[in-house]
Amino acid sequence: MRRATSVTISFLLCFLVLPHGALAEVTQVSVVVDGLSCPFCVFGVEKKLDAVAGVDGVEVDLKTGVATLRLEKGAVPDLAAVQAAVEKAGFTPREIRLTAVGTINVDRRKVHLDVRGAETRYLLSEDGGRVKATTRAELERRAEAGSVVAVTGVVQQRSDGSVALSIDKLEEVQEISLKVEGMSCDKCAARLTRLLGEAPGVSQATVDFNTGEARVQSRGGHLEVSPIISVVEDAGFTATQNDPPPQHP
Amino acid sequence: MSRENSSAGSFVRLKRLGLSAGCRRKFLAGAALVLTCATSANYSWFPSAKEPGYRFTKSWGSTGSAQGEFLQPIGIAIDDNQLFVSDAGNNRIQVFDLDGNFLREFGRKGDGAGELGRPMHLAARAGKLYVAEYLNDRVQVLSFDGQALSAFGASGVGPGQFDAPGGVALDAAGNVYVADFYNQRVQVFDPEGRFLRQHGTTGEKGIRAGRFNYPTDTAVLPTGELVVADAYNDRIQVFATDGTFLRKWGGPFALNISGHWPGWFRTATGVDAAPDGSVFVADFYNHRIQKFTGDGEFLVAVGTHGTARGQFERPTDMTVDNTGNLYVVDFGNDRIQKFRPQR
Amino acid sequence: MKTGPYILALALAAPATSSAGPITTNTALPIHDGELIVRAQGKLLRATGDPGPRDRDLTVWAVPTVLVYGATAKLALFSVIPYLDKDLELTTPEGRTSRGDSGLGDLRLFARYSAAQWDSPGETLRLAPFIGLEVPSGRDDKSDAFGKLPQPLQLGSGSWDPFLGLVFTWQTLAWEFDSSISYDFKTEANDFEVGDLARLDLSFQYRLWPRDLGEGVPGFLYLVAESNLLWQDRNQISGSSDSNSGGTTWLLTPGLQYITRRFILEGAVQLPAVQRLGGSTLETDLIATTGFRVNF
Repeated sequence: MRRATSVTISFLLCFLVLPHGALAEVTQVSVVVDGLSCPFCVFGVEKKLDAVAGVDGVEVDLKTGVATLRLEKGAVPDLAAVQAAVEKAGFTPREIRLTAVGTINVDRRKVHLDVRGAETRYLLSEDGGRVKATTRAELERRAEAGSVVAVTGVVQQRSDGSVALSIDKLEEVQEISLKVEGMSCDKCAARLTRLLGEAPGVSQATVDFNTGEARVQSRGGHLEVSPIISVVEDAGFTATQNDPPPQHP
Repeated sequence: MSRENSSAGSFVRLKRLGLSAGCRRKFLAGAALVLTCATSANYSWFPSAKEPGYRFTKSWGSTGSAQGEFLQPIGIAIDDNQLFVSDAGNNRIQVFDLDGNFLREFGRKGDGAGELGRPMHLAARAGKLYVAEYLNDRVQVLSFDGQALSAFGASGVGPGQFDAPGGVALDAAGNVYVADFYNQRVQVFDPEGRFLRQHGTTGEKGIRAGRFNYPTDTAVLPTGELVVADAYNDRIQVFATDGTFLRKWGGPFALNISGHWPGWFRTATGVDAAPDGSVFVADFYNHRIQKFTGDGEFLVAVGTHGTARGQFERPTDMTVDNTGNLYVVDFGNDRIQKFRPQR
Repeated sequence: MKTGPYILALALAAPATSSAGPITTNTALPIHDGELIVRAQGKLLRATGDPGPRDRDLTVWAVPTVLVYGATAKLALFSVIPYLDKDLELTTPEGRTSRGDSGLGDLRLFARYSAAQWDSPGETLRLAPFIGLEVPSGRDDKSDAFGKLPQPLQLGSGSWDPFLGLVFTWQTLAWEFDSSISYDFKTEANDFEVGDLARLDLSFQYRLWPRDLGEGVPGFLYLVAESNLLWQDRNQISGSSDSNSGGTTWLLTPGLQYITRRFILEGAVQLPAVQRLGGSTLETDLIATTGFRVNF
């Protein structure tokens, strides 16, 4: 049974790993920095983190000591680089948290999250150890269903080189892809992105002006196609749903 | 006179201030007394000139270290028709004839015999030049050619010690009077250099008679009385040969009230007694020379502020020859100016 | 010397160098690897308490410029050079006269290493020793009509003087405490050796505003209270000790500081609480400081 499941997952992966790039698959990366206690010192932390490959911007909140990173499209942060950046700034990184979207991969002993659109996989864990039996069962179920999930938790580099991700929150990911016509410039795309992002049930939306493709993602919520298309039409454009990627028969 | 200006009017105003009748009378009497003092002939606070004054004759000198140039000239003395000028910044004495022609110079920076450490006011008599040295805390006696003859004094506050002697004078007997600047006193020595007495309280400024606020220079009248330029008290003080205080003048009651009027001073840095008994004072920050009788009665003032002929920039000292010509050390302009009395 | 103003206060006109944190003293706060901080201060020193007869009146304007470079996250390199304008007025037989000089003073170079560090959320404790050298780049032989200026009035000392110290910093989101202890070994030049200088500096900065910390990184307004305790040994002139020098000074310093991510603006006044100075040494009235720091 397990072998069949693995095969199924791998097969699905082939399809799911088709060019998806537009939606960031690792988001809400934040670093808790210890020792930050005055504005002048924050400058160094921001500068060093901003210089890490794949980071597009940094926002620090002094009260909580949290530095939130904005990633470039499709980038997955190099944990070692993030930690080193904080240390080079003269401070101590306590923990790095992120949300990663991908599919579950279950084998005999370990459960992984394969990050979609990247060559990265996180070893899922709970309470610092392996996933509990009950969680494992659920994850197996999702894996079998071919679900795409978003896992939020603390990442940690392990001594064997793998990266662990704790399961603080697990959400089902649902996506709809639309072909939008009538956009005449980047500004239209940006406006539409904002409007779609505010639509009910939508966690994240991207609109690509060049290809005309709009993708909305929902985590833990429920997406219906027609309300989404209505939002597009209210904005003055037309949309048709793209065929979903083929499911395994 | 209107009612407001009359004394009756003053009386009424004082009444409104709430003073009793007895107080009012005393107040007005006192005011009347002060006014009388202020305007009386001998003690006028705003006297007028009693002599025709002086006319500019010539001037020589400019800033520099060559012959005939000066770097902060301070003192001047005259004897044997020669003018001796202490050129403090150049640590030397320059000698000129009465027309300002350079004769010779001597001295160089140092504290050995014949060397000078910022020479201040000086006295010349019978072939001997007495030079007060600011940096070396001594009075050196040189021949008119600059040969070192003797020196006395050392740094300190005791008798015979100095803290920047500013000026020296001699009387007919050869007693030496030294203005001991930072020690706030004038010391008197006999011709052999033995300490006789001092005027003033060592190290303490004072405003009363016999006390000083940086005494800078001394002179001796033909009567033998000692005249002291009590510089920062803006006044002159005169003492008898036995040391008793005689008189002082400079502004109201000579109490360190400075001003620009005749008879007032703004830092009297130099004093000279002419052969006829008159007293000349270098009125430093008023940029003028003032002439008085030996009793302190104002006679005339010479000079205004500036760089032109007949003008001064902080004059420090002056001297007079036998025919009454006046020679002024124009410190701020690095030059000497000569004047003759107008008839 | 006739006009010798052996003034402890002049040691204070040299800036106590620091990066972030206190105004008049050192801190152990980090400079990030590759960071450059530029700091400049304008300082005014006035000293008029002359126990001697010369009525000396000292005014010193100092504008020290500091460059700080983070060589690594733990090692910071400092260079400080001041522009100085020293003016001593005194009474002389030819009026009130000024002596002094203006120009660049001696260069101070030093390195500070973060030896120990304890970071926790919103709080950090640091311990950092530092060691440096004062280089005689300032003019030390100016003369005027009174002769060569006394050594404390010269722009530079003419000597190579090493110094070292230790800084401890404890910073939280609401306040910061710094304490610095240092010792300057003064060496001889021009037959003159300024007395060695020992310092104990304390600084406490309390956040006045914002009262409650909100989101992001707001600007902080700190109320600053500092204490500077200095002890200086007697000067040596041609080998012998000058009793008109040396002594102990204790300054209390209130100040204000506004800090953002990129810059700091600050101002403080050092007021003498205790001065026990040798002989006729001039007493300090106050030292006023304003300054700014910028990150790069």
